[in-house]
Order: sequence, then structure tokens, then C-alpha cells
Amino acid sequence: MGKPPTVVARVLLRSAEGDRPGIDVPITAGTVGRLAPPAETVAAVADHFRRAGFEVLGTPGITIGILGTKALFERHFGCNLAYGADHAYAVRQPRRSGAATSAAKSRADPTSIPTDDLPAPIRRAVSQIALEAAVSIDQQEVDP
Amino acid sequence: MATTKKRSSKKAKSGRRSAAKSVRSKAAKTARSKAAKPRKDSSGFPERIFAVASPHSLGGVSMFTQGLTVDASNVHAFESDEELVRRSIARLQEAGFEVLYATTRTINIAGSRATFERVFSTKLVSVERQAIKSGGEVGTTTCFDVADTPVFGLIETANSGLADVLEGVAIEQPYALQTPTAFPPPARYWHLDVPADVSLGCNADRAHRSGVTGLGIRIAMVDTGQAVHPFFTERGYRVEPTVLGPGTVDAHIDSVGHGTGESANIFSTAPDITLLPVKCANASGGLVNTTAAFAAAAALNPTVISCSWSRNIQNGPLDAAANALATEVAAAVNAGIIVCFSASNGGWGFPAQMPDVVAVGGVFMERDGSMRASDYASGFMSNVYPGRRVPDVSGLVGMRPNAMYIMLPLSEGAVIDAGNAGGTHPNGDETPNNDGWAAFSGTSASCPQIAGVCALIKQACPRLTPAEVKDILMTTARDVTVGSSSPLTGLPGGSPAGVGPDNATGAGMVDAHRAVLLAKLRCSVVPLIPFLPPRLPLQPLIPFVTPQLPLQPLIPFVTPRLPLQPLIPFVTPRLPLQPLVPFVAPRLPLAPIGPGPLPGPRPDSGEGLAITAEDVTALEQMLLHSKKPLL
Repeated sequence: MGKPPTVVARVLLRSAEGDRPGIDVPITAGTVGRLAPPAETVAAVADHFRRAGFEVLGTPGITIGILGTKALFERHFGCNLAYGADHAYAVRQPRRSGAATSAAKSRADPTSIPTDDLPAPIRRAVSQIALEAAVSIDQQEVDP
Repeated sequence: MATTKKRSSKKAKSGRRSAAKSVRSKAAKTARSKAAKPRKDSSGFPERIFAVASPHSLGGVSMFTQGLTVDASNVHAFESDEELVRRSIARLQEAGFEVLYATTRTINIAGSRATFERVFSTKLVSVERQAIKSGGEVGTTTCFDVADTPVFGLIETANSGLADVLEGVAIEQPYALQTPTAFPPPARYWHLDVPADVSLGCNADRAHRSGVTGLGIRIAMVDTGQAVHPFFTERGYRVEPTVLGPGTVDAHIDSVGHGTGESANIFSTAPDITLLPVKCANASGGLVNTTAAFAAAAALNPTVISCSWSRNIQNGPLDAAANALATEVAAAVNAGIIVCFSASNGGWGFPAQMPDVVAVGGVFMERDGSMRASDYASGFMSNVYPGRRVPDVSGLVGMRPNAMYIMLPLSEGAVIDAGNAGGTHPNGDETPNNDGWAAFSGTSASCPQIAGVCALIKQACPRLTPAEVKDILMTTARDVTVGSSSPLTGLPGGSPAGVGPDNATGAGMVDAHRAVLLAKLRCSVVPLIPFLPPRLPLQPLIPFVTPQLPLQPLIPFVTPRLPLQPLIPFVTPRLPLQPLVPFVAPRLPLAPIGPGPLPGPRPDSGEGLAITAEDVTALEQMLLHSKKPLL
């Protein structure tokens, strides 16, 4: 078994007004301008991930691309990631019981990395951290 | 190693139903097989030597007779009795050979050197011979022979225990991978070639004749990579070096063949664009980190981004990954980049559902030019974005079961080249598995066709916004009224096509020529309506103006330099359209058509191409046949 491939994720930031893209405000070309976070927030979040050992991809903006090893992601976010046959990582949901189960179920999006372990100022600036999802080429007999 | 012909002859197609997993596993297999070295025995011979055995021919003459030529006129004489073939197979297996494949003429076998020498009482030797290798390179390669026969590689059977069933055995010799050519291979079934047929089907030839070919426009394509192929190089198409997305390697390799093949669709409709390939496939051929790759494409600041991939998202809310991709797509469109996404083939395609993108569906064009909705391409009303129809417009796509419709260039032996090879259409594309050509389509093909047409529109009128380009595509599309789109989960009958826009093909089949004409027209004639007060001609504005003033009409609302006569036609032009005069390029770009200047460094401030006398004639025809105002 070879080394697992690096993990790529995108950090979606809250807007200057605190709106969460795609949750509080639909994401369109018309709204994306006002979803822009303050520049200092972008810089602070990007700097946080750089200092934590992630590679920051491209030019940070409403989203910040981050790249790192599976171990780094798991350590930094306090979660477990699973690499699937579809060439994509997913958040492995923890086994819990009782009330915790429903909480876990409510957060069943396997592409969403939990932000609970982030420092408070960073956590407040972040809306979601999304793993890259599996996609399919739209060619014959390739299920999307 | 003498295995190539055997591999070529085996055109496995049974796995075609196994979807993405299958494609990826094939990619992995291809990668592994390319990396693997043949295992050899202690004397340096490969552990398996391949050969072709021939049971005795019905005509009484061995097919291995020296000087004999076997062709279509005499091949029947070299058929063998089926019962003899069956007995031959059994005897060969008893003797220790693997039987790989059999016809009534030949039996493909594999065995060790020792097995061959024991069964046929002979001695194998290895010989270095000159050979043409992949890519046309001349070199030497190791072949196998027996010393005691006049024909190279022939094993006589007369002195063996199989003499009663076999007339001879030919040791397989190496065949080079076929070097692809710039010309597509012939195929007997109805299909389209690139660039000519796809260009014609999209009515792009006439746009090209008028000088609109996409020159100066850059299209980024996020896909499995871009391999070098004579189809592109010999036509002088402009392809920039591939940009690697995160998690990808080998910029010059496209082991799947998808990106390379689909890019030929772009060049078919826009031959003079510059292609910026962005690779999002890993070494196994699986698509990875597509959001990051899309962001990398947008960072190149192209005019158009073409993406022939999707996720199947039937209902909202979107998950985090979809939100992230949606944000990048929206930001690109906001920056003035036209983003085209395929609608999917049998899925609820996302991000094609996003209202900002050009969602591309499929239309099948028959040999006589008649069109119907492709039952392979998706068409639906989005449940995620209420009121959003997918697709907006359609390009050329084949029909079920496999949409093997457009003969496209790719790396020889790529996953799609091998996967579609051989067989009989529509279950196989009837081409070799390593010739660098394969017939395929899907909305993966139509999406880049429309991306190319977007490039033509932008060349004709650089200042158009993505929304305006989409409007032109839809306004000028040819209505497709028959057929239905692919069945979907929750929509088992697909969506039927009908008169007017529908869920099967959107506005219909793209028409590049008409789109370019309308782009020129819109670039030249600027609607004044937004800049005028709502109800002209105006009565004196007594309540708002001091009574002493002699009340002129509200001329100051309109820039005085304008020749203002033809205001009437701009208010919903009804036929007949008198004022062709204003179509003759007023030099002033009077005002931006869209909501305002776009952010970012976009080189889109040109005035657009002038309307020619020929254009005026064609426009008159368009206007006469238009069911709605074009301006």
C-alpha cells in the first residue's frame, strides 16, 4: 500500500457581514461580490493555515485552498479522514451514542471538515471547510 | 516481447457498464501494464510465449505455405472444421498450453519455451530484428524463431503429437503500437469526424468563413490532460503547456484520453483559440481536486472555461464541497469568465445547475441533418435552484447505449481508446485499441463545442458579459422538437422535446453562425431603453419644471451626438424592420450593454467586429424568421 495522496480542501469564509456562502446567502455571480470577506480576515486565516504547515493554494479570497498530508489534516482538525475508491477523501463520522448521535447525524456531510478545534478567531471567520468531492467525466456509461 | 498482437486482438468491452469505477480501474490497469516488465526464465526467454496455431484447413493447403497469399478471395479455403477446432483446443490444453482465443481459422495460445520445445520437438531461439517502434522510431526488438523451418517464426507440427490436428504454429512477433495519424480512421456507421462534421453540425463553418474563428480567445479546459497528437500539431492548433492541478502528475500524459479527445470539439467550432489545458486526473486516471483545478483555471484569466464533468446532485441543500465549487464558479463568472458545464449523461448534473453557467445538453444529428434530443444527455428542472432549467443549449451528442458518435483523437492505448475498441457499433467503435482514435461523445463532447462557440461570440463582441453570451446562444439556437433526454433517477422517462424551449435540449441546438451575427449586431446597436425615461415621447413635465421655462422635450436624457431618429425600433422591434441603417456600426460604443464594467483585468474592451454587407443580408433573414425580438 503506497502513501496516501495529499488532501486538498477549501476554506469558505464568512462575509464581512457574517453571512455564510451557500447557507445564509445563495452563491451566484451576482451575490459573490458581497460575500467577500474583509482582506485582513483572508490574510489572517491564510496565515493560520500556513503556520500550521498547510500549503495555501493560489490567491486566497472568498475561499482558500489548502493542501496537506492526511495526518496533518487529522491532527489539525481533530477528525479522521478516509480515502475512497472514488479517489476522494471523506470525513469519517465518529461513533457516538445518545444525544451525540443526532448531533453527529446532523453533521453528516462527509465533505465538511469540523471546525471545532480551530482557534476561536479563525473559527468565527470560517463558514465551512470542504474536502474535494468525487466527480465523474461526462462520457459514456460514466455515472456522474 | 511477442505479446502485442494478442493484446490488440482482445477487444474487451464487457466492462463498459461498470461506470467510473471501471474507467478508473482500467486506467490503473493500463498504468500497471505499461510499467510491468515481462517475466523471464533462467535463459532470458519470457515465461509466456504467445503463438497462433492453425488447425488443418478445409482447402487442404496450410495457411503457412511459403509464398502463399491469403486474402478475402481465398480465405474460406483456410477455414477449419469446427469439430477439428474443438479437438485442437482440447489437445493443446492437454499439452500444457493456455488457449486464449479461437476462431475457425486460428487458435491463440500461450506457453513456456519448454512447453513449445517439448510438444513440437523443436528448439526456440531469440533473434534481434529491426522494428518500427511506437512513435515511428526505428530500432531493434527481440523475436523468437525455430531454426529448422524456412518461414521465420513458423513451428512445423508434422513431427509432433499434434500433427493430426494442426498444420502449423506461428510464434507471435512484436507489433509496434500504431502511431496515430492526423486523419480519423474510417468507420462504417453514422458518426461525426472532427473538425469538419462537428463544425458543420454546429453551423460554425459559416462563422469561420466570415473570419470569426476564435482568434485571440483563450479557453481553459479542466479535464484529464492533453496529450500530443498529430490531429492537433499538424493542423497548427494552439495548445499551451498543461497546468497541473493539485494531486496530478505528468503534464504531457493523458492516460484516459478524455481531455485530449474532448478538446478536439473546441477546435472544431473555434479553430483559432488558444487552449489552456488544466489537468485534474491522477496517475490512475481518476478525477481529483476539481475545485482546486477549476480555481487554477480561473486564475489563468481565460475568456471561457469548459468543464466536461459533474456530480449527481438531485436535491439540495448543497454539501460543503458543492458550496466551495459553486463559490469558485460564481467568482469566475463575476470576473467575466464564461463557464460552460456539461449537463451530465443520466445524472442531475452539478454545477451545470448553477444559473450562472452555460449548461450544455445534447442533440443527435442524423446524416440528413435532422435533429432530435439525445437520449443520452440529461435534461431537467433543477430541484436545487428553483426555476432553473438544465440545459441552456445543446451541442452534438450520440444516442444510447454508448453514444459512440464522434471520432476523437487521444493517446494511443488510452483508457477510452482501449475500452471502446473493436466490436460492432453501437457496442464498440470498430477501431483498434491503440490507434489513437475512438468514437465517443456525451455531454462531455457538447460542452466544449459550445465553449468554442462562446469564443466566437466573444471575438465578435468582446464586451459581452457571460449572461449576454448565454442569451445569444439561446436566442439563436435551433429548436429541436422531437426525442427526449436521458432517463434520470426520479425522472424515468427523461424530458421530452417540444416546440420552443424545453427541458430536453434547452433552447435547442447551437447555431454558431447566427450567434456570431447576433453578437455583432448587439455590439453595434446599443439599446437605449435603459437610458431613457420610461414613457417617451414625453409630455411637458409641468409639475417638475418651473413654469417660466420653455419646455423642450427631454433631449438631455439622450446623448446629443446620437442620430436619434430611430428610437422607435429599439422599443420592441416588430417586423418589418425598417431601420437597417443603425446596424451599420456606429463607431461609438455608447455604453456598456451589461450592468457595468467587470472587475479584474479582462482584455474585453474592444468594439467588436464590423457588420458586413453579407451579415446584413443574413441578419435580415434571421429577423424575418425570429419569433421574438433579437434586440
